[in-house]
Amino acid sequence: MSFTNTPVTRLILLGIVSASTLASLLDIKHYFYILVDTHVWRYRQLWRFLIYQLCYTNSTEVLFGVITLYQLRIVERMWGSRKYASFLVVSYLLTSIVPPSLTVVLRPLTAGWFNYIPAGPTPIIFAVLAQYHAMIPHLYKYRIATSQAPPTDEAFSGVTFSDKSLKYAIAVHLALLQWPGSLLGAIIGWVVGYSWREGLLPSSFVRWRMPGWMLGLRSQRRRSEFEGLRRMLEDEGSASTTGAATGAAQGQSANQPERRRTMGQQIMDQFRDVL
Amino acid sequence: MADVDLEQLSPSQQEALQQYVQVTNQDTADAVKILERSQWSVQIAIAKFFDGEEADPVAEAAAAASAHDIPRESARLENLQESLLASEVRSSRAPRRNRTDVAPRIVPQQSITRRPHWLIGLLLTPFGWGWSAASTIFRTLFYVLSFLPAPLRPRAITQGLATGFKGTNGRRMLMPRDTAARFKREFDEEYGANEVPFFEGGLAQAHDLAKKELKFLLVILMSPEHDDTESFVKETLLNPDVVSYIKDPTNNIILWGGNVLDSEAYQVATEYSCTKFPFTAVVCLTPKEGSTRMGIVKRLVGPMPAETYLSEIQGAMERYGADLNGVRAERVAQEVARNLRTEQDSAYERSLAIDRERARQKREAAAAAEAAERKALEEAEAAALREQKRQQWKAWRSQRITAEPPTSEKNVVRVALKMPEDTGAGRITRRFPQDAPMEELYAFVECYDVLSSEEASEKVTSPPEDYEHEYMFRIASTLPREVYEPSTTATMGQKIGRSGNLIVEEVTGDSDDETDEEEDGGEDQVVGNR
Repeated sequence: MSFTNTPVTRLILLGIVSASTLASLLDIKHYFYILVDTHVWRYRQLWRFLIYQLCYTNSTEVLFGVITLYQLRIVERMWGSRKYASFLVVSYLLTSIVPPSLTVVLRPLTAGWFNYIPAGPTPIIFAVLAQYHAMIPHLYKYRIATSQAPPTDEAFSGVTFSDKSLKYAIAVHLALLQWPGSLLGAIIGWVVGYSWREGLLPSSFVRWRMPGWMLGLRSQRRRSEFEGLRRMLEDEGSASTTGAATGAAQGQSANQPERRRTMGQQIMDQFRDVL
Repeated sequence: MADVDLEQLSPSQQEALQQYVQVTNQDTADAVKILERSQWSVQIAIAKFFDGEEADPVAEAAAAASAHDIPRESARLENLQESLLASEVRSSRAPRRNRTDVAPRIVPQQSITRRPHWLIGLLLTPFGWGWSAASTIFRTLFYVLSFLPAPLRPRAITQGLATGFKGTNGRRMLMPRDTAARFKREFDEEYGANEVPFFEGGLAQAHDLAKKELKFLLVILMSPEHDDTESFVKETLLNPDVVSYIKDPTNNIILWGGNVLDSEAYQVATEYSCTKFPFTAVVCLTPKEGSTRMGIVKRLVGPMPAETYLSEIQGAMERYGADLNGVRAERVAQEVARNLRTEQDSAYERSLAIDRERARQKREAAAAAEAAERKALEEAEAAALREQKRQQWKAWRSQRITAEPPTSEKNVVRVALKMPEDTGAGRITRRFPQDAPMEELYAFVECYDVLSSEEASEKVTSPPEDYEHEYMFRIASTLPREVYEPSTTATMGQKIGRSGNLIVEEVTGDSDDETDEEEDGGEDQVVGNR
């Protein structure tokens, strides 16, 4: 399984790890968090809103953020990379604006308690986690009993977990690491994720998709052209092998060079198109 | 030698050896050798033992691992870096392997929904109210917002919350059959009436059916929120050629569809290592890799034109159809052989039953004969005993018969007895006292031969035990005929009077009718004798 068919998740993980490492190496961590009184009120550094989610500023958060995102890659598989990337972009924009603005409002209300917004994409992770929560069914449940295990379900005291519980636990841990700013970001992210899902956002946000070329998608028409070409070649190959009445395994291995030639053919085709 | 080997092995090797020997029951020394050749992998060693060693699975596994193509069966260790590199290679190149992946049989765990404790329910109630209040406010707010231009207007206003195929709220876990029915219904609602023959049951049932009836199982997994699902269904799956091909009963296809938002289908997706939707897998029995092994012979991932889809399925089915036909023929042959054997068995059973019946009759006849013989013997013994007792009784009784009164005595009964012919005694006259009971007369007649022989037999002081004497004759008078019973109370004076002319008649102890007839005959005889 690993990163098969999840290019967006892979890119983001690499991005978070390398950005966090670089921020640490180049000693520019202080650009990535927001202190409302200093940065917003005194210096008007509103550009911080847009970049505060680009990296984490400590290694624990990097670790848990990366673990959580890696486990949420199933969402990308179930949506397709293009929709997933579009969702990430939309939620990035929303969570860039909403949590800092909310903190600006909350700071006077809570007498300066909400002042600090930690760096890192925790809101986005929680937006994805909301999708995970809504989409993925649990596979099994287990119970941790505080009483003696009863033969029936009656009179049971203990906690029931599912296979998803551990993933939530890691995410919750991530949300609590930079209390209270990270928790606010997590809640906003969850709300954004659910709003996106339930159609509470403007429909153009939900319908918008990234252009295909950004994700390296070829158009359907060209793919079908290649498919036709490949099929023709495979037909020829199978005709020659079935004529010799060989077994399935041999037919399969005999097909392999055909396929390689097809890929070569594809590359040739591309060159020809360019010329 | 084997002991030395065992001493030298590490604990894990010893464990492997133990497992291997348990499975194969092979000699320890040979087992150690074959395990060494298999680099102490129990699975490979067992495979070598059962399949022969001409193919070297270790070399194959090494080759497969070097090509980043590790079979699922062997344990897989991977780290992030490796998988980053591997996924690059793998995603660009379709995995080709000689062995197909095993198609697992998936039985979802049934969830039990229980009501929470009432205290928790009470605590959660305000949240429920809060949720409904918030959603009402939001709805109202968004209704107010509906003056906005269409692109900015939230979807929730125009469409309501998503339900059905695309909705995810309240997807309860159902029984596999109900889940399949729900999938079918939602599919129909979303894409209109269609003739796609989805299997109505869980994947486990479909899997078993395909295995039993040697059909191809087509597993389609759809993620309704995926961007490609709609185009895939409309252009590929509902293509008339594809539908008619799947529906054609001669193609032996079982179509199982699942929505990955359901627990069962999600489990299927993970077990079939499906990484891209829409996903189609062709599963069938792969007899070359194990007689009961279901293998995934083809995976079709992502959107593709209907012709490609169809030709890929057809290709896979053609490639493995030959194997399945072989198995089918084999099964038919086995069936015929089994029928033949059962017929033979039943014929044998029938003949065996006949033989048994005969033997039983013979045995019963023998038993009956033996019983009759034993009975005759017992009767003979009893008769002999009786006879002996009878003799004893007669000897005893003869001594106690009252002596004949002297002729001077007046109070006597004079009796003239005509003895039966065969005793040869002829006519006897005797006097009895008048107060002697009738039984005395009978006893005299019975013991006459003892008395007349006058032998000095030893004194018999007591009658035989358990013996009731029965007189085998009757004494009757002629004209008028009167039968005197051997009574002990009635005296001879009362019954006979002063004198009597009596006849002793043999009684043959048969039924009364015969005695009656004899009586009649006897009467005639008496008359004749006169």
